[in-house]
Amino acid sequence: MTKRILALILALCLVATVFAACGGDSGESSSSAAGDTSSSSSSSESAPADDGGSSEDGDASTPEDGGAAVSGEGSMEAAGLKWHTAEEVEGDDAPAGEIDERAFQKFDEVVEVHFASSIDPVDTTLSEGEDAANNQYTRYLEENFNIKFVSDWTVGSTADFQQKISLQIASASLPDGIVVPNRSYMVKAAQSELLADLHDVYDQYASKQVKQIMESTDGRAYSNGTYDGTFVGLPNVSVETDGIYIYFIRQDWLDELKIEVPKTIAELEAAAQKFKDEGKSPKYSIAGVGQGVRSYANFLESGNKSYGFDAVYQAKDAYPGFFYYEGDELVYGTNTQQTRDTLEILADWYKKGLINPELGVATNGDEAAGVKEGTCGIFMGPWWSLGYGNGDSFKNDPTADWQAYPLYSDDGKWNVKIKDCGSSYTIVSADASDDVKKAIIITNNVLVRDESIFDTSVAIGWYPLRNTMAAMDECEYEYNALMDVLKGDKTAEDYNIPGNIYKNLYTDAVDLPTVFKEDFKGDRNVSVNDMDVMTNNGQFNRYYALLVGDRPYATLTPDKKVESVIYYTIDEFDTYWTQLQDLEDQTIMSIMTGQADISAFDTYVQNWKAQGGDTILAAVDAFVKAG
Amino acid sequence: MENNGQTAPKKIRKSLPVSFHYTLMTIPGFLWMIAFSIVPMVGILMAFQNYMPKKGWFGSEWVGLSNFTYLMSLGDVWNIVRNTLVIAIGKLVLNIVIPLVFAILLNEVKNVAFKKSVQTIVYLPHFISWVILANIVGNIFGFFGIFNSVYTAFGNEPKMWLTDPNLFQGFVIGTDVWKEFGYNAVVFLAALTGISPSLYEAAAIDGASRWQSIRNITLPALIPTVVLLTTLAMGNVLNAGFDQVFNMYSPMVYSTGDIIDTYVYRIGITNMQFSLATAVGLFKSVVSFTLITVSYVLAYKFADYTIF
Repeated sequence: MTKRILALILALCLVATVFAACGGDSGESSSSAAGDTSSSSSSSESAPADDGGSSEDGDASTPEDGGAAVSGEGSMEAAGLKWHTAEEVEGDDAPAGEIDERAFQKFDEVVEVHFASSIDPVDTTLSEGEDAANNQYTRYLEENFNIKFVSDWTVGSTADFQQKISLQIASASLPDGIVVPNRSYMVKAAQSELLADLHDVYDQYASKQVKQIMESTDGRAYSNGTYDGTFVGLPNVSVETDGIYIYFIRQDWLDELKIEVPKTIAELEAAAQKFKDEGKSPKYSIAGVGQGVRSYANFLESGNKSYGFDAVYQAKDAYPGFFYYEGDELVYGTNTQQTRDTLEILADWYKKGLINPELGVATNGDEAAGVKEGTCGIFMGPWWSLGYGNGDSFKNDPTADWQAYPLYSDDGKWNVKIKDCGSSYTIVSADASDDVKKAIIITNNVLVRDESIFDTSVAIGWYPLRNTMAAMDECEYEYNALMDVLKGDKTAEDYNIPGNIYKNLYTDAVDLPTVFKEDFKGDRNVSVNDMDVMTNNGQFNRYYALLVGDRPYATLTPDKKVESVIYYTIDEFDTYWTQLQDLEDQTIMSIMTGQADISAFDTYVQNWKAQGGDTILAAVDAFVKAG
Repeated sequence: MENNGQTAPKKIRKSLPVSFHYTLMTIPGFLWMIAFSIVPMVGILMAFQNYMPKKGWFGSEWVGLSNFTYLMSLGDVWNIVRNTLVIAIGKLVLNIVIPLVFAILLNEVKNVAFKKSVQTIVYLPHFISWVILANIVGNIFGFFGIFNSVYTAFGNEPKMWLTDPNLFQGFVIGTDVWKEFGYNAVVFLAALTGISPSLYEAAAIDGASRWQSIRNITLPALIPTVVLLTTLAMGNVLNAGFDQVFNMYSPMVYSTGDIIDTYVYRIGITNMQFSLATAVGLFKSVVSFTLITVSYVLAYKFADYTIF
């Protein structure tokens, strides 16, 4: 009889785990969607427009001025090409919602633009009968600018999207415009001579805002978008803090167990151990990455890494996955002694059961389950990981007081990796007509200018060819401004400036009372106890990300910033990179999870060099030195 | 097809009206084969080129066998071929032996209701996609899974089963056999019903035990089916099951779990080295073709059995 009961329980457990997996699945997609939204809304901020220009615009400019114009030789040089700067554009662009003769012009005839996109399969914001090519954004573009979008295909996941792009490049059948998720697709398509030269049309028709954002990267955005002397991809520019990795911890647990906020790796370990011993985290206290995900951001995917251990690596002065110079010598960060040391620590944590034992194999969002359920008190990631990234943990427990801190090295230094200025690229087919190219540039201008006046209850992801552009310091600026409002030093109306450079700021400032409790005066760090989680949950997530998640980067200055000298692959990588990357991923994960001894690291470094790594280092070195 | 083979040439015209509509019925199959198996053969050209999409199959630069020489020089390749062979042969053998034993056992069951229900139940996993099944397997054998709960109850330390390179091949083979044995047993069950009951009756009269009649009647009668299935399976010997491995593996088990197809996926789709990926695929097809030819000849020689 007992056997039967046991069997029944086992069977039920099996069914339950299967359903739990499904549940985790939807949770994950919603949280990753939230992640997207976060980086999107963060990166959706408009560029710093020329302040004087825009106020002048308000009172002085008249339609008779004839609008803006671009003429003569451009004065700025980047990526071996000449560009007109935003300042050289004569006159002003039309204010939000209006058209003019240049960057916001209306075509005489309807221009059809074919595009393809990755959509959110669980999105519920579209109305009945609407789709990727028929929604409020496409109608806005068609009515105001005579640009009609035609959707060639859509897919429901990032992986499928990348696969489909690869195949379309292979079969030379790209649509007119498409936003590719990283530079290697742009390069491959350019090598295959599939891409249009966008230099002239961009230089002529990009709005001032767009140019200002591009210029804010010191020409890097231009060189990223240029391949072999041709400007073939319009890069996105996203907030810098997307690549600043910090750690998040349950402050309420720390207080309850009377632990000081951990500053160093050893203190973090002690806290994690205590969380586990005291039953706060019965299974594990530090969350880790899921299946097939690297434990650190590398030079190709330098931003928005969730659940990695970058904070720990950085605290050991290790920058795995980045190419950088140590003295005169170019090194690959993964192969350094510092990375080896960090790996020993992480392997030790894994062995002690502090890190999720399903590290690197958890699927369907199980890697985030502990954080959501309130059984895991530590994880790492960029600013939006709190709020946007773990919204469910506040829904489950409105007193879960997550806080964000940098992890310092033993000598008290805060080291950070700096990500690339953007990762995705809008590319245009070589077969596209001049009008289509122009339409794509204008579509981008409109997004940057008008996003603040759109009703974003329809997910902004439906905007065709959306490739976000934002001032790099947007989150930090908002942090300080919103704290001023909370303290009462400023009022929301102080930010009610038409054409303000940070366009979400005013709305955010106005909405503060819908989330913050009245007695909170901004005299201490924001915590969940000062906020109302459910009433305006969307804004709650945003405030939590901005005011808690981004607090370290907004209020503290890192002691050391490390950039990769290269954020994309060059030709020499083609031959070796798959093998080297496999070797690296396999070794690092095996060591961390105790499948291999730390001595495997030394073998790995030798093999890495022998199997083409030395060739790659030499090629990168030559590439960088050639400028 | 055997009918056609036996038809003498002079009878062709006479038999044409009879076989004609059978021939017609094969047209959809032929169209399918032309569209998806023959036309794409042009793509093999890519293996000998430095393929550039814009230039296409006829304009890309010819590089001879350099993709293949490069392929052979990669340290990974032999490891991957070995993994593929181990996994595929393990599946091939067990997917014949276990269904065979199962079918014979089931055939001896006299209670029809029991027999049918068992047959249906073991048949079901065949219809579940690996995408789902890999998750279920991952849950059962995960660190917090049921298997570890049982395992630790015997005083062992819990462990990660699916990331242990020494166990991964066993998991792949075992779960595949579990999924497919009910389906594969159907063929044997069909063959079993074809054995004349009079043979068993005669054996019973001669005083043969049940075991003796299985050995001397059932097994010999099943040999042609076994040979047929083995030979057909030989063509798949380098197909270790992409969707299964792809959904179950992780970087930790690349050393034993990476197979040709997953490797091609990573090179071709993820890293867009189209020519190299085609070279790997062609290499695989050539080996498969050789194997199926050899097994055809062997089957003819030793079992005196022509498959087609």
